[in-house]
Amino acid sequence: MILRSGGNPDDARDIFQDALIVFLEKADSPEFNLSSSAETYLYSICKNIWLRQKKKKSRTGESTDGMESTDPLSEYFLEEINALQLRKIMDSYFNRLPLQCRQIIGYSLEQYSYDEIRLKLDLASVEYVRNRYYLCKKKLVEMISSDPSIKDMI
Amino acid sequence: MKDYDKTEDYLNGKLGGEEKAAFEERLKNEPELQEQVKLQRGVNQYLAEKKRRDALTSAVKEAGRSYHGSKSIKPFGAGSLWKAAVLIGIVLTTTVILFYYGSGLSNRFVLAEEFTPYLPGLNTRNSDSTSHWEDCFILFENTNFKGSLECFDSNPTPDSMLTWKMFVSGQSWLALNDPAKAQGCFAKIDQSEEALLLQEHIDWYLALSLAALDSIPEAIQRLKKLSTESDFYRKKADALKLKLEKQ
Repeated sequence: MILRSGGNPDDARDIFQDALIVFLEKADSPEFNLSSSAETYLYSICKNIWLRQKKKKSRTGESTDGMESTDPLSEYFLEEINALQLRKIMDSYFNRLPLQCRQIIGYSLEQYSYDEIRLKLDLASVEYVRNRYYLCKKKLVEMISSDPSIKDMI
Repeated sequence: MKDYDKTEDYLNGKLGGEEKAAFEERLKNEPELQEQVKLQRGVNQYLAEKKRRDALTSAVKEAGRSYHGSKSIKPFGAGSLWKAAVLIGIVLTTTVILFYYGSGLSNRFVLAEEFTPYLPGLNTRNSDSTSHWEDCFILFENTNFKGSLECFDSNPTPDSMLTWKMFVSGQSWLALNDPAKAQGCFAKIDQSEEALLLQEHIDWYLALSLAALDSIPEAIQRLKKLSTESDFYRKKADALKLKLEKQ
């Protein structure tokens, strides 16, 4: 479907991986219940993500190739699909932070103390780590807040 | 970002009684502050879940690489990742089983690897979208293949749409792992004047059906035809031909 509608094998691989993630996220929720086969759902999720991606690229907001943009099967996964898209945008901003910022935030997310982070990254002091963490996170929030597409998604 | 610190303290439960009340009072009246809280809460949530989600993404990518034979899956560590591993396993195994089980044929892999349905748009069919039989096409487009076949069985299709019905039904049978029935559908419209514009797709799906039925020489013949006549399928046809010839 993706190759036929202007995508390349990398697009197809990426979209399928995204669809699997969406599927697994949903599978982790207590209300998870499928009325069709997993393959059928995966195909619908792929279609939904691919159409969104195409729309975003064309910026026309129109459906593409005569395919319907709404699909009752993928509706079941809508929340997870939206969350995935939001996460990808946030990831793109996170990855724009300087390496040291990503490392400090990353270790902090893994529950390392500021002192442990100082030792791991060979930094001058705990205070420096604390300040850097504060500035890095603030920078991330600033970058994300400047993206107009984020407001409707959060 | 003038309220960044205050918002962060509020979200982390660090504001005391009076300060908290004052902040919440402002929150009621200031839309800009409401946006700020929403945004920072969203970023905090993103960061809190980042580690788990990154691990899940890596697991899926790793499984994908492994499936394509370039790398082996490493053991999963966290509990939620076991679920991911098991589910990925189920999805992949189900796909393989669906195409092998009960067939006794060696080339069902062709369907598993090559088949994707061709979804004709409503405009392409130039049809009356208010007709009842139109629902059968919609079911097909929503990948409800079994439902589409049942629908065609229970609704009369106008003569002018019989070619499309056969084309779509053939694909449904392929999706349902019944290449013999699929071949029957495609053979009925093969080389017909009505199916002129669909001929390259018919050739492709016939090649898949034939390969899945172990009729390799006939499948290769179709693929050779596609290789010379179809820009759309040339690459895929060459690749599949090579694969079948190697066997």
